[in-house]
Amino acid sequence: MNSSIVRKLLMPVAFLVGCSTSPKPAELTAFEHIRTDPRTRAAAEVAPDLIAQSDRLLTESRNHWESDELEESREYALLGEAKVKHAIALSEQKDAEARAKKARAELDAAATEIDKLERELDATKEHLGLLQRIEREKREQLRLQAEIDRQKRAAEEEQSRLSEQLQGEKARSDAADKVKAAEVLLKDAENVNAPAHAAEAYQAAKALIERAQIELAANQLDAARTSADLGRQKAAAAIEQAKPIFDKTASDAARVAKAEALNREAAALPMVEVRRETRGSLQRVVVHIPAALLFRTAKDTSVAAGSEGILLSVAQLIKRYEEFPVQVVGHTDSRGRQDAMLARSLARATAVQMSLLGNGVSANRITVLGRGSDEPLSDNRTNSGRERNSRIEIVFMYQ
Amino acid sequence: MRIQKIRWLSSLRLLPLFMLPLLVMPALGDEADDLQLMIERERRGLQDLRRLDEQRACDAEITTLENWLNEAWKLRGEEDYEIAKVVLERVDAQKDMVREKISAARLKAEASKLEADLAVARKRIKALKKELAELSSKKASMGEKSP
Repeated sequence: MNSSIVRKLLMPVAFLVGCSTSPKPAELTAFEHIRTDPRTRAAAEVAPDLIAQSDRLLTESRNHWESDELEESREYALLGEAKVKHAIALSEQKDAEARAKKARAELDAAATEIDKLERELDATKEHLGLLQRIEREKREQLRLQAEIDRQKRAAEEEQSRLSEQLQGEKARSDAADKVKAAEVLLKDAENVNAPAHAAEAYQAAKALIERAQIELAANQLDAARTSADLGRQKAAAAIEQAKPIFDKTASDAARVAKAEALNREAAALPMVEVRRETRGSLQRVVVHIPAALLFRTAKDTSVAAGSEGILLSVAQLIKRYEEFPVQVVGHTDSRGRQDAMLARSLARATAVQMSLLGNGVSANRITVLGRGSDEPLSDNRTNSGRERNSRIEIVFMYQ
Repeated sequence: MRIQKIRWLSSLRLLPLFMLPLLVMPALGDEADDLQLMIERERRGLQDLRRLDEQRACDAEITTLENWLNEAWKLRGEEDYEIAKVVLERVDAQKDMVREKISAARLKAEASKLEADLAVARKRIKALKKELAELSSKKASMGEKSP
C-alpha cells in the first residue's frame, strides 16, 4: 500500500526529472560569462569574424546542452571561449599598440621638451655661472678695493706720521740749528771778549742760550727756537758792542807790540839814539841820528860819503815797518840865524829823504820837516849840547 | 563450366568484402600517424609558446593546452580519432588565442614600459621645470643685483 503510494508520488517527480535538462556545463557558463565581458564588446569591433564564430559556437553549445549533449556542449563552449579570448587578445593588442603609440608620441614630445628644458637649463646655468662669476669677481674686486683703500689709508697715515715726524725732526733740527747758531755767535762774542767789553749783553745772551738748550732737551722746540733767536740777537748785540773795543784793543796792542819791535830794532842800529815820545794821542818812536854822522861839516846839506850804511839800515827799517808813517825831521843848533838854521835843517832832512828814497823807500810814506833850532834836546851853550841838538830824526808815528 | 564460372564470379563478388579490412587498416594507420605528427607538432609549438611568453601571461592557458594535447594523445591511443581531431581543433584555436595573448601581453608590457618611461620623463620635466624656475629666480635676483 505504502509502497504503491510512494511509487505514485515519485512518478511525476521522476517524469519531471526525466524531462528537465542537465546542469549547464561549467565551460558553457564560463563561455557565457566571458561573452558578456565588456572587453568582448570592444573585441567585436576589432575581430568581428572571431566574435561571430564564437556566437555561433555559443549557440551550438547551448543547443547541445539543451539537447543534453553535454560533451558536445562543452566542446563548443571551450572552442568558443578560445575564439572570444582570441578576439579579446587582438583587441588588447590594439589597445596596447594604441597605448604604446600614444606613449611613444608623448615620450618623443617629452624627450623634445626635456631636450629643450635641458638646453634652457644649461643656458641658464651657464648664465647663472657667469653671473656668479661676475658676482665673485665683483666681491673680489670690492675686497681688493677695500684692501687697496686700507693700504692707501695706512700709507697715508704712515706718510702723515712720517711727515709729522719729519716736521718734528725738522723743527727740532731747526731749533737745534738755531741754538747752535746762537752758540756759535756766543762763541764769536767770546772771541771778541764780549764778557769784558759787553758784559750785560753777553750774560743775557748766554742765559738765553742756556735756556734754549734746556728747552731743546725738553723738546720744547718753539720755546727753544724763541730763546735761541733772542740769545742770538743778544749775542749779536754783544758782538756789535764788543767788537770795536776788541778790535781797537787788539789793534792797539799789535801796534804797541810793533812799536816795541821797531824800538828794539831801531835801538840795535849803530850810533843812533832811540826814544819814545807821546804827543797828544800820537806815539812816536824817534830815531835820533847825530848830524855829524851824516854831514861832513856844520854847514853841509849833502849826505857825506861813507854814511850810506846807516841810512841803508834806516831805509830797511822803514820798509820793514811800512804801516808806520815816517817823518824825516832836520834839527840844528842855535849858532846862526834862525831862518838859515831852518833852511839848513830842511835841506838836510831832504837830503836824507833822497837817500832813503834811493834805498827803496816809498816817497808817499815820508814827509820832510825842518825844525831849525826850535826843538833843542840839550843846551846849545855847550859843544856837547850843540852836537846833540844838531841831528836828523827819523820819526815813526802811531796811535 | 558455367557453374564454375558463376562460382568464380561469385567469389569475385566477395572479394571487396575480403579486401575492405585491407583497405581500411592502412587508412586507420595513416590517421593515427597523422594525429601523432599533429600532436608532436603542437607540443613543439607549445615549447615555442612557453619561450615566447616572457611575461608569463599565459601560464594557465599553456598548461590547459598541454592537458588538451595529453587528452588528444590519449584519445589517439584509444583510437578515438574523431574526438582527438576535435580536441586538436580546439587546441589549434587555443594556440592561436595564446599566441595573440602573448603578443598582447608583450605589447602591453611594451606600452607599460613606454608609459613608465613617459612617467619618468614627465617627472624629469617637472624636476627640470622646477630647477629652471629656481635658477631663473636666482638669476633674476642676481641680475637685479648686478650693475
